[in-house]
Amino acid sequence: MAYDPIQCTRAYLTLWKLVDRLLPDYSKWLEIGPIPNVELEINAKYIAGSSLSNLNWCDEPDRLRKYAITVLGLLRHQPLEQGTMADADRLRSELMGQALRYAKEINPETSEWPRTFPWTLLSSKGR
Amino acid sequence: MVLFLKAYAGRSSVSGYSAQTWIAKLVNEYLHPGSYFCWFSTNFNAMANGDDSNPIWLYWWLDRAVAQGGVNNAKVQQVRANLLLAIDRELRAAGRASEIADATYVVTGAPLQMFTPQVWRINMAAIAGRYTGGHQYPDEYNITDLRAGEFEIVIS
Repeated sequence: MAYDPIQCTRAYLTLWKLVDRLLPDYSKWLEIGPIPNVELEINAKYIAGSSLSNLNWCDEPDRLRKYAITVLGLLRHQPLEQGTMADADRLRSELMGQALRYAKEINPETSEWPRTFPWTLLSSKGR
Repeated sequence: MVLFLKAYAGRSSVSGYSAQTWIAKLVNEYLHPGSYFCWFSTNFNAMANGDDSNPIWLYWWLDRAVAQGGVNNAKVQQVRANLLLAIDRELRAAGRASEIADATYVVTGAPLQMFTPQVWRINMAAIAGRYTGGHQYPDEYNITDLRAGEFEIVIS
């Protein structure tokens, strides 16, 4: 399978949300739909348990898999202790940074799919 | 000309308060038209909750980030990441995976102004029996199917 920034974004967002939910200041109120934890964990376990060749949709599969293993390790140690919390907070920032970086590489111009999102959204007035 | 000004109690059993963003409202409408998912409290300043579950704090933080041009503000990035996750998950679940690239592109490139916060006042009587409590904090409630006529935007 070829490099797919959509899958990379999804993978890092999944890992980010799992860590986000471990921290007391998690961004629950910014969610706009239910996301069952079990679903996130299944996806993380899939990434952690996959061979690098099965993660070839990611340009850095080894890095992604290591992140998944780290996140699953954190899940086994909840509730987090104070010292671990600082590490988890840093990890959360890194995962979000990765997700947003891959998201910027998604280009609908090269997509075979029709444009469907309401583009007027960007030109409408806010206040 | 006569102006009628409405006032709402900052804490009340008849009102719920939620801090949202302009872009989150639009994405909510795009993903599941006519039905909003949101967290709310019965106090506009929900001091019994953590800061991230307090509408006045979320409003203050996001409003300041937008006013100061904080494109990389942590809270703004959290809004963006949460929207991207919802887009990916919900469009796939709805058999609309073909829309993910477009929607992600729009949200990723959305200007900071779209992260302008709003305060929603929710009519608690209208949603009776459809919201859940007992979450992380005492004054914290969740509704998954809030309808357009059941809330008003009191600050935007």
